[in-house]
Amino acid sequence: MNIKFNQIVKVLAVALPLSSVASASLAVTPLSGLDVAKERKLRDTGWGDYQAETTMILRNAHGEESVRKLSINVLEVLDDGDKSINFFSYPKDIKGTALLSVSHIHSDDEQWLYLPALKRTKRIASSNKSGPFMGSEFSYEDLSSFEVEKSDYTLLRQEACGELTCFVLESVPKDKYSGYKKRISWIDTTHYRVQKTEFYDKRDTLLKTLTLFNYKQYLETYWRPHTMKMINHQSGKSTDLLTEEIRFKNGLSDSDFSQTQLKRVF
Amino acid sequence: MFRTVLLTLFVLFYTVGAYAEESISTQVSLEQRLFWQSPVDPEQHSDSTILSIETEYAISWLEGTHGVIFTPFIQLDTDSIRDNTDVRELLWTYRQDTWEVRSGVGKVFWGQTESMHLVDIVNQTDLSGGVDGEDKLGQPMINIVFSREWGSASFFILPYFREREFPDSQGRLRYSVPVVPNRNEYEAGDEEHHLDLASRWHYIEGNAEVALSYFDGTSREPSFYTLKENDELGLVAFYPQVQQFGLESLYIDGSWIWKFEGIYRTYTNNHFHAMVAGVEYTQYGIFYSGFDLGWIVEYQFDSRDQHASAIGQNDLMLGARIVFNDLASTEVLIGFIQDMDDSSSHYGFIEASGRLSDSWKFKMESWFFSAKSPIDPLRHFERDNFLQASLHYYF
Repeated sequence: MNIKFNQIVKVLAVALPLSSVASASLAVTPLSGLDVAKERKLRDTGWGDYQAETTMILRNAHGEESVRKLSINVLEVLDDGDKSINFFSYPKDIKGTALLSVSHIHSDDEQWLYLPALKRTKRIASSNKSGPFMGSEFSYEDLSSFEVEKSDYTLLRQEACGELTCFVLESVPKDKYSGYKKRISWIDTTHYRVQKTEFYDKRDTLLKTLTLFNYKQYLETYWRPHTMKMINHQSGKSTDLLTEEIRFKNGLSDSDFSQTQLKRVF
Repeated sequence: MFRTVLLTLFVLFYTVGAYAEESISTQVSLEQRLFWQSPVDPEQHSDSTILSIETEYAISWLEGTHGVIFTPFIQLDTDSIRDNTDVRELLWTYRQDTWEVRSGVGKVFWGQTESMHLVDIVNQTDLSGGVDGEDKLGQPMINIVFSREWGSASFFILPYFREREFPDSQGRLRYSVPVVPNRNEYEAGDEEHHLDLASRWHYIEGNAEVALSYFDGTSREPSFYTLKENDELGLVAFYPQVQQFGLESLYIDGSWIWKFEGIYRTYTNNHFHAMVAGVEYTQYGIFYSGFDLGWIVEYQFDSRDQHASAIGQNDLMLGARIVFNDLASTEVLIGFIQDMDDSSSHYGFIEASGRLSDSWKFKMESWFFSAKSPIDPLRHFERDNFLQASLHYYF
């Protein structure tokens, strides 16, 4: 009987912080930033793999635009960073160029870029995560998988965000190669979806703002934004990342994320 | 051989064509070179305008397990000096999770370093495409690749050899004595039909990569002997049989990428070794500008030629790569290679490229060569400094 009671207490200890989200009056332990980060990850675990067709619209300070198109394949890796392989198809001069990323929680990410004209697969330095992805306002780290262990968290407050209520979560990256001092994210309390993120550079000045819209739910569980808008406040440039199509559970495996796969033209 | 491949492809197309996915893309290029010094030999033309067309047709079926890629290439020179027609690729691929077979005409790249590609031996260099040696001719091959946790192992059967085409007597960037066209000599009795074999094992462990390779067959790089015919001197290319062991390695430490390539090559009664070792250091988003700036330092060593000024014998390369990360994807690469034994012997280049619109791209490059010693191979090109501009249309 005693043992059983202990188990119930344990279960409650885990469940309570979460239920406190739904109705604040029940809150026993105050919710921490780490709790929010863990719950965000938990609600986006188990999707397996997805393939997406995306378009990036790059805009410079003068409002001139340029389009990039890419197909994205992502494999979920439990207990480590995800794997992804991106095939570029537009503009045509970069058709066939492909990027393989194997991200890790506790060690450096691995990345290879395939250059079809030379048939050469080139390793990229792990410190490139702060660099722009394909000339866009998204850096490599902005597009890599969310892993709880990669940052330290502080829950700043809860406030209204549009029609929803959001946690305002500050995360400080642990990775020395990160381009940011901190990020501040607005995460809705209903589904733990990121609605907005502000990125602060190493001098702690606001660098970029990302807003995410058109969330759709897949497999009755997982939410994905179909529009992401990144604005760089310092350069006046911006990038829209539009997801046209997304398909989950394609049966992808490790072998679809190897160097030989980079070279596929079909 | 060629007919068998074509016939096989034909049959495959028609048995499974119904579920196929296709793509086709073409690049048309117009290129102009400008030599600002008069040539050593008045017979040499200052270079002309070149038009080239490369089309890539790809088809796959049965969920991508089968694929064929066909890439014909045509290059036309207004003076017919750098004319070239080539099948860059005509390759059938059959892919499984842990292995794949590729058969037909293909292109393969081996290597890690930037200033020189020592280990890369499968494909013949296409000198009509550029002086950096990065353009390659298609190579007939049967290739099997196994990818497992112990790395990837690749085996090649190379049934046909393709000669290196050198500029003829009217071309620039040639040896002071021109290479006699169509007068190749081979050590192997079956000449270009000699069956060459190659293999490579590549292993990745976190921040380190290593590859070992072996090649047994006709050397892609010829040696020369001088021939006097009708009172004119010419060079005859001789392709010996060689065995080459190659080692490539790479190690990443943050922004630093350490690279190494080494070869040991044996001929009948002869052997040599050569290596390139260096580091690339990249600063991303430098000064908050969004530029990436990369620095390259590489040392080249070759035991073959004890002449102090041989290319790559004891040389140091310094380079910089600037990626602007702008809408036009502008990039600039600068390189300077200094002979460590002879201060007068060096060469360098600057390459720039960018997009003019979604379909148009420009490229520019300029090379200069300097040598005082009469036995320095660079001496041949000493009056061949040039600027090259090209426009590329993609559809």
